[in-house]
Amino acid sequence: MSLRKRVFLNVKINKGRSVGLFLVLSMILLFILVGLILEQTAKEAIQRVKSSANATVTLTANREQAFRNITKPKGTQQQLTLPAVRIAVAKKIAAATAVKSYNVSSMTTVKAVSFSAVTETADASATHVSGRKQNTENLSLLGVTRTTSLIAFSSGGSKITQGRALRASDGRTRNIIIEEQLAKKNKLKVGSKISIKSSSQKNISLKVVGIYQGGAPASSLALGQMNTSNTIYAGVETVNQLKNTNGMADSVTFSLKNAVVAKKFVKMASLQLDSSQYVLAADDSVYRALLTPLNNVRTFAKGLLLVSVSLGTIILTIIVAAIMSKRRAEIGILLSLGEKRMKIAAQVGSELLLIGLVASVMAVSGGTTLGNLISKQLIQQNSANASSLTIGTAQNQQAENNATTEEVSAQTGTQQGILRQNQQLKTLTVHLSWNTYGKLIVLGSLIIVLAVLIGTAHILFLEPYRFMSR
Amino acid sequence: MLRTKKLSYWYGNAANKLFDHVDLEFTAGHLYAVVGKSGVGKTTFLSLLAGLTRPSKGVIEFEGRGLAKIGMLNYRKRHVSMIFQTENLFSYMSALDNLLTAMEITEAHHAGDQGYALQQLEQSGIDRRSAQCRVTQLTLEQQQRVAVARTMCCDSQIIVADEPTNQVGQEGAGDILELLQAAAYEQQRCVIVGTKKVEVAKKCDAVVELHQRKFEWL
Repeated sequence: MSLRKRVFLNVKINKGRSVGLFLVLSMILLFILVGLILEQTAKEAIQRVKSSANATVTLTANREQAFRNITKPKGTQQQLTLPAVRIAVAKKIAAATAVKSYNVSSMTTVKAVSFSAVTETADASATHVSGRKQNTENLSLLGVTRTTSLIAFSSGGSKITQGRALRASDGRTRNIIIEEQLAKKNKLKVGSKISIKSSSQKNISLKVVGIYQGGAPASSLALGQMNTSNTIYAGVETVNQLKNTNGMADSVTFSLKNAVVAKKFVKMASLQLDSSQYVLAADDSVYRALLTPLNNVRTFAKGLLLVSVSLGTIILTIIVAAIMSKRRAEIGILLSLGEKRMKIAAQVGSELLLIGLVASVMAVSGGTTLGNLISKQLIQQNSANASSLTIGTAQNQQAENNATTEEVSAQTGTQQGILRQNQQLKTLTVHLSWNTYGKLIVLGSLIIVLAVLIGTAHILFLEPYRFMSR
Repeated sequence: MLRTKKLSYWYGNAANKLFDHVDLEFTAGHLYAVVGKSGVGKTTFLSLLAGLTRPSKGVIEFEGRGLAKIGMLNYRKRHVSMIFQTENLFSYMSALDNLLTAMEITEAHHAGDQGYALQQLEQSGIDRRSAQCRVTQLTLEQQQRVAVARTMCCDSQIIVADEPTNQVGQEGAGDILELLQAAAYEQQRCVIVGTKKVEVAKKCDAVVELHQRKFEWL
């Protein structure tokens, strides 16, 4: 009878032993699979966050340097002048492969002519703390390349409710999008025309192509000069025309394809700029905020794997040693017939592998569901912690009133980004790939081989006579 | 065929020798009995002849070559078969499978030949129905018969049997001895039987007694 038949027969006849080993191996493999799925989920979540978390790099004037410059000549007063960013330079930087899209921003203050601005007073306390009086006549005209690539829109903070968003092709047109409250107050619709007056007292007619809803309530943004409802988005060229700054921009925001390359991109782009004039600031806060908890999950998965493999090997070794002691007579007969010790170990190992293979089916059916369940819980829990930590920090800063409007907006964007990523991660389900199943089989086989080698050593290296002399 | 030269064996300390300076020779075509009281060292001596353990001192030669030179594993595989008092068989197999397994491991001439194995079992008093039964369902006597049939299936020139009739009734013991005699006389094998029973020893060609660490031909 061949070794293969011996293996099958032994497993079949010794049912109690086989069932016991099946249960033990199922549990070991189940834990390993949970670890593997957990690691795979964390890995996929990191990949997803890397590719979908908004990472932006903003190119603006170097304010610090500009402030330093005005204090240089002793005794004389100088006016603060911030250098504008040349759009041509920005386009050159945007040609890099890391850039998904870019947005040129140029802002100016205008006065409403054919309509009136939203005059709703902001939160009293905030107004009091800011110590500034809101100029209700003023509107903010913000020139952008396209609204979809603005953080406010891409993070879900603001959304188009009527009409359409502003496109790059709207640059030279007089198309604008306005806030819902402003539209409501003035009964403006998509297609309506409004007139504004620029700082150079020039009247211009603009056409409403879309109406947006602001994500953040006006009360939370009371620190600024404007009510956010009075922010009108227009094409960059339209704003530049009003400001007489053609070909220039206040800032340029580059959206990156992958959050990981943010720092590398800043380094590369800095080489093309005069650092005394301009500064590049990377914002990969969503990615950073989520990366730590996801890495924690991954570390936990690795730990679980290590513990499962180690404990599994120890437990199985003890069981194999106990089984070998019970099989002394059988081993004695095999040795007396001249069977090689390695072949006896191979028989024991093959029996375990056969049972292990069946156990892997059980582990796969239970482990995939359990693994996904645990990984979802862990990722959600860790991400939620990161989210609440970020929100907590933002609220503290707002409470202390140290944060500027831009900082508050950025933090709001980060919070919304994290929440949006969390929503996406909730839907993350890992299907057992052949690769993971292969890893499970390799690790399971490794445990069995180690357990057989260690567990049979004390028996196999005895002389056959020892099995007979009892 | 099989010779011991100044064979000594002890457990742990050399002062506690089981036997010392044993010079014996066993030839093919004979049935030998090794007798002695319980615990005197018969089983150990038979295990040495079967290559299951190594001598503390001295050598065992098979056809003029030391077992160490032949290789203990090779010697057990090709030249010797052992019958134990009990637990001779693979309990999870049938009688037939036990024979087929032994033939395959020892790479016997008839390895894989089921008909030959069944014939050997029949000659040992195991019918076809019993041959297919798991050995645990057989009586002790039947199990010993299967063990004898197993040695017959293998091509070994030496058969070492340690108390093969101990668990067997008188009639069965007679049958087993007849089978061993047939192996010695008809197949020209060298059969060495360890026994306490005088009636078994009487049926052998030569009897050697282990007494006070010395072997003596009777």
